[in-house]
Amino acid sequence: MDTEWRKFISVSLPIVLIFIALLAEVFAYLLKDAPLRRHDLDRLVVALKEGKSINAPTILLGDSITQDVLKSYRIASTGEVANLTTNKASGVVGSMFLLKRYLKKNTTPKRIVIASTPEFFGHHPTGKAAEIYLTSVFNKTEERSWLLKNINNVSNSKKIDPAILNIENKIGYKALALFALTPDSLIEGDEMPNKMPALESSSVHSSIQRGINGRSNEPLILSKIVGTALTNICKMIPKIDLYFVMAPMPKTTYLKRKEKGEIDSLRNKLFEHLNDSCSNIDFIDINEYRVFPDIAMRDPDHLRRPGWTAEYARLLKEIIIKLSSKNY
Amino acid sequence: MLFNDPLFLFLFLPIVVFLFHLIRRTIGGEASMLLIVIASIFFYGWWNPPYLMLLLGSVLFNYAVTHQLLKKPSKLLLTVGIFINMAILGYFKYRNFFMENIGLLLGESWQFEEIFIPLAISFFTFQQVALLIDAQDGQIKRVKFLDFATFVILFPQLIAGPIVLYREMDKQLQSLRKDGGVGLSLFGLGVVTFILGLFKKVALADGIAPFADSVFGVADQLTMLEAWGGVIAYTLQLYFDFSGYSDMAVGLGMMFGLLLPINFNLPYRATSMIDFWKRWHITMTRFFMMYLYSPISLSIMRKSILNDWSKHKQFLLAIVMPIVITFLASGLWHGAAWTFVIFGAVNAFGLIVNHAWREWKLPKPHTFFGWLLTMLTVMISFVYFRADNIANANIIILAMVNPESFVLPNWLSYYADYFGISWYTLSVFSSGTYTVRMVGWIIVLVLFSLMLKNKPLHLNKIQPTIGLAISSSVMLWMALGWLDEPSTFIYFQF
Repeated sequence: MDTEWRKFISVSLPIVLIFIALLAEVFAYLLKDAPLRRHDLDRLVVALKEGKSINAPTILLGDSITQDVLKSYRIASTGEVANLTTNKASGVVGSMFLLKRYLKKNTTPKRIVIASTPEFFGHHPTGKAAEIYLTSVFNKTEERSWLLKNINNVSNSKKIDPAILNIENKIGYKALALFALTPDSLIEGDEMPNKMPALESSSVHSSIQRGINGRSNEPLILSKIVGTALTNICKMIPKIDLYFVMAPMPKTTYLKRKEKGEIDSLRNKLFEHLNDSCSNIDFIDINEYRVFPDIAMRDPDHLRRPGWTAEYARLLKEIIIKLSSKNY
Repeated sequence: MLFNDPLFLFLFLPIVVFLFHLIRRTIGGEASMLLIVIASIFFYGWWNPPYLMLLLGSVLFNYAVTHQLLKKPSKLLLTVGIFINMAILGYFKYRNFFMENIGLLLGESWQFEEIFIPLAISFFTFQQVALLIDAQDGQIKRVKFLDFATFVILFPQLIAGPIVLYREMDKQLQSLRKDGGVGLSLFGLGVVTFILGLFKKVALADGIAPFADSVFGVADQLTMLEAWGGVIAYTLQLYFDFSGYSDMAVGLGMMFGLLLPINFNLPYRATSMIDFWKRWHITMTRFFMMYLYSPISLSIMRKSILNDWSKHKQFLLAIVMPIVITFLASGLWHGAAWTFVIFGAVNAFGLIVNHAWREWKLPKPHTFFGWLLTMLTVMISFVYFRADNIANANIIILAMVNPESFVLPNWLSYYADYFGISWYTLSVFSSGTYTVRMVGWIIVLVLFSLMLKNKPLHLNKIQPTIGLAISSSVMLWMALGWLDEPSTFIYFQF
């Protein structure tokens, strides 16, 4: 018995351990170019790489409130608007990288519209969310060096990272992606219906109301990294028209923020910061034209479907039309 | 130092194992035991050096009392010994709890600074109290200081058990001291058992922990589905966390030639509460049965026979009362909080119903029904075990049973509208991906908890095959891959 166990401990187990580690390395090598397909952002990145050119005059950037709407409804004819919306975790930094990748295959747009919550501009990427939605998605050499320069806690890709200790990212997700269809176009929703769906009017759950009440406690700021990313966007396309569209906010949050002067302050900060790098900037606050009551929200940040999302889509569509005709 | 800390895995453990076997071969068993004692002192002191004095003081005091009791049994000395042990435990672990509650009884709201509980104080105190009682009862004949010190502070079992009895370690320690015992078969099994434990802890328990935490963190916002998901997730996390730790402890013991008792035997297969407590935290249950439940129950039973009590009275005093006392004590043993007392009370209730069912020979329920009822009782008790306070625990349980809290997540709105069920964006099940992952974890872990046998129970059946090498390697790599940050073990707080 002892002899068998001696052989097990000193020969079998170490050999199998090494063999499995090598096997993982081989799989990781074979899969190294397979694009990830974990979430909408991964699919967007694949679509930008593999899909046809769009050459849209308008680029739409923004966070999940807008992304959510554009998944359901098309706000312009095909080819008019390139939907590069993402989420808060990916942030303005992610938007900047998406735009850069877009420009490699497409002609320069006339205008960029950033339709987002005001909190989008104060976000600083950290932790697991930043890893999932930023650092693991944008890992070209120049993107990594930008992130390394601007975010403190980004891991350096040059460190030893055996596949066996990172199976989830180096093998798991990539192997799963092999079974997914390659997206050949950006995410687009359906045509806006002729008859708009009814606006939801039932009361919201108390926990959502608490979230809405607490949302205005988070101060609105322009974070340093977002400022740098916005400057880069302007530098990428020097004569671009850049429009900031404040997405719908629940009435309670909006009124509190307005009362504290936070919306105006954010607008001033954006204008001041981009004064030298952007030639034409404008700021449109949707909430000034349309009140979104608290019951319009399905959570503190997102609109209820289908009524209120369709309403936001309608407003966004109008804005895009007016901007296109330079009439806004 | 934690067993899943890279410092322990890649530095402390290899060095101690290497030196132990080297010294054992070159100098002898006694010297190798001395090495374990020194290593254990270092292991405990790494956490908080000042409390090392408490541990060493406790060892010296209890050795002196044991020595005296073995020379001449004395009830007075035993009582003094137990009292001092319990007083130290009470001072460090329970003083705030008792003072705050006395204050409440007097209508005062006394606030005390949070106390810093010495690591493993419950474990080493109870282990030594059991030894004192065994010495008084003549269960132990003689104790050498080195054996005693190894028994109490042996690092594989020092922090969170298993709660070992001296009588089951006596011969093993003697054998170790006299150069016997340690064969490679035991060492090899130890390595495999340790890997299994590490896998359970790092890959399984820590893998599902974020899902359980996400639910218990927003108790007041839960819907029925989320509450159930979170409670099931925590039930699985607790089992894999603690049984993973116990397997690691047993595996480490085997690497040093000591066979520690197992703590779990597929507890989630239990079909009754009595069955559950025979399978869950076995060494703690054994301790409470031997040193609390049985003495109380037997003495009352004797009285009942002498006085010819009625069946009801006998059941109430000889079974119900000892169960209540034992499980309230066991609840308090886990922590100085009312949530733990209720945890004990829920289990006591389940056991009383189980005993009554047997006593009055009611029809035996279907195995599945018995299992379901047992798991429901256990899960409810675990809600109190995990929740920050009683109010939160009650809210979670209410969400589990209140039909009004049945709401579907927004990403199932199509089906919700079709069936006329309310829906909105939920706090936990906010996205389909997250929910599917959580459900996936739950399904995998439920299967593991029902099928993954506790290895040391089947020592003779384990052969060093290539299959064992492959499964151990896969588990080890998976565990090492997820070894980001050393997370703590749930039972370390006790």
